[in-house]
Amino acid sequence: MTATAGRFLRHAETARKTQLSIRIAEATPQTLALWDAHVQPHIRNAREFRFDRKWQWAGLLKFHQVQETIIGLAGARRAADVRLLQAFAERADGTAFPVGQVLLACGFPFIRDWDIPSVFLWYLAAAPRQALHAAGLPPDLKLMRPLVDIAVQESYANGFEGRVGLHAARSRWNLAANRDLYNRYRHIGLAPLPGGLRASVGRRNDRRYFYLDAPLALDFARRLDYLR
Amino acid sequence: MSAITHVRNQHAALTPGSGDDLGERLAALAADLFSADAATRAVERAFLERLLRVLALTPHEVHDLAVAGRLSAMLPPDPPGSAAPVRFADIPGWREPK
Repeated sequence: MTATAGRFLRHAETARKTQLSIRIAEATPQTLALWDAHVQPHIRNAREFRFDRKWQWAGLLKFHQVQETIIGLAGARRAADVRLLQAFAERADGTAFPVGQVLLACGFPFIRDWDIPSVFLWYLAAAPRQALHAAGLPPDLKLMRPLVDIAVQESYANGFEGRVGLHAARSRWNLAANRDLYNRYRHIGLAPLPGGLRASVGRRNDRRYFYLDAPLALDFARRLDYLR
Repeated sequence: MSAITHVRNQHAALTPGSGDDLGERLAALAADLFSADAATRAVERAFLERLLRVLALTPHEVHDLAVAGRLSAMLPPDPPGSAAPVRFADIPGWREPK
């Protein structure tokens, strides 16, 4: 643990370099309903391609929790703690608006070394510009780094030294979207898993796995310290 | 119990160092989940089939299905929750001292 680790962001930045207060919190049925009511419809109807167009977050949370429980009970490995964390911004009327969320498996085998634990970031979604605009928030809010940072900070909090793994979603037909997502993860400092390594149990390495090990996580976290 | 055999083979192939008895333990787990007083055999069978569909997927396969928009068919529908506004000041920050 370092001085920079274990502290979640308190601010997010816009493309114009203005800052907005945010708060990270565990999702509740009520706050998930806020996402479903005010954000997911904009994702579903977005003109641009979205990987998360049909995601049902409450279902995904339950599905992964059940799977991890069964994996743990069967003794295949220690079950990971599955958590859904949300980032909220404050609207002009003082109410909270979910601007992004992540589904994490805390204690999942690290994809670079299966013998040590990490946080696996299963799902990440940021509210689209249209949803932010409708909520009276800056539509140019930059959210990818802050959302990945949630996984990094959760990794520190669990004693995993910032280790994080994730898989960049892949569309079968939208190759431009695949390339864009890949480049965005690289751009924010995640390292691609080398081709010779197996990503995990039961899944071939399609070269879209990314990770942060301890040194990379420290560098990643430090770059965001001014927003903590 | 051919479905349990399928799960056993699936996990034996997918799980490193699982040991020969993993399939047996999975089968025992599935059997334990049977309700002793379930109304009918058909109810038990439907429950088991659902359980096995979950067991037969790795977390990575769940992710692939979700991204492809094909997981919805496997999930029970969620009743819509109350989207009542929450004050920003009342949001309990994760891992922040109370």
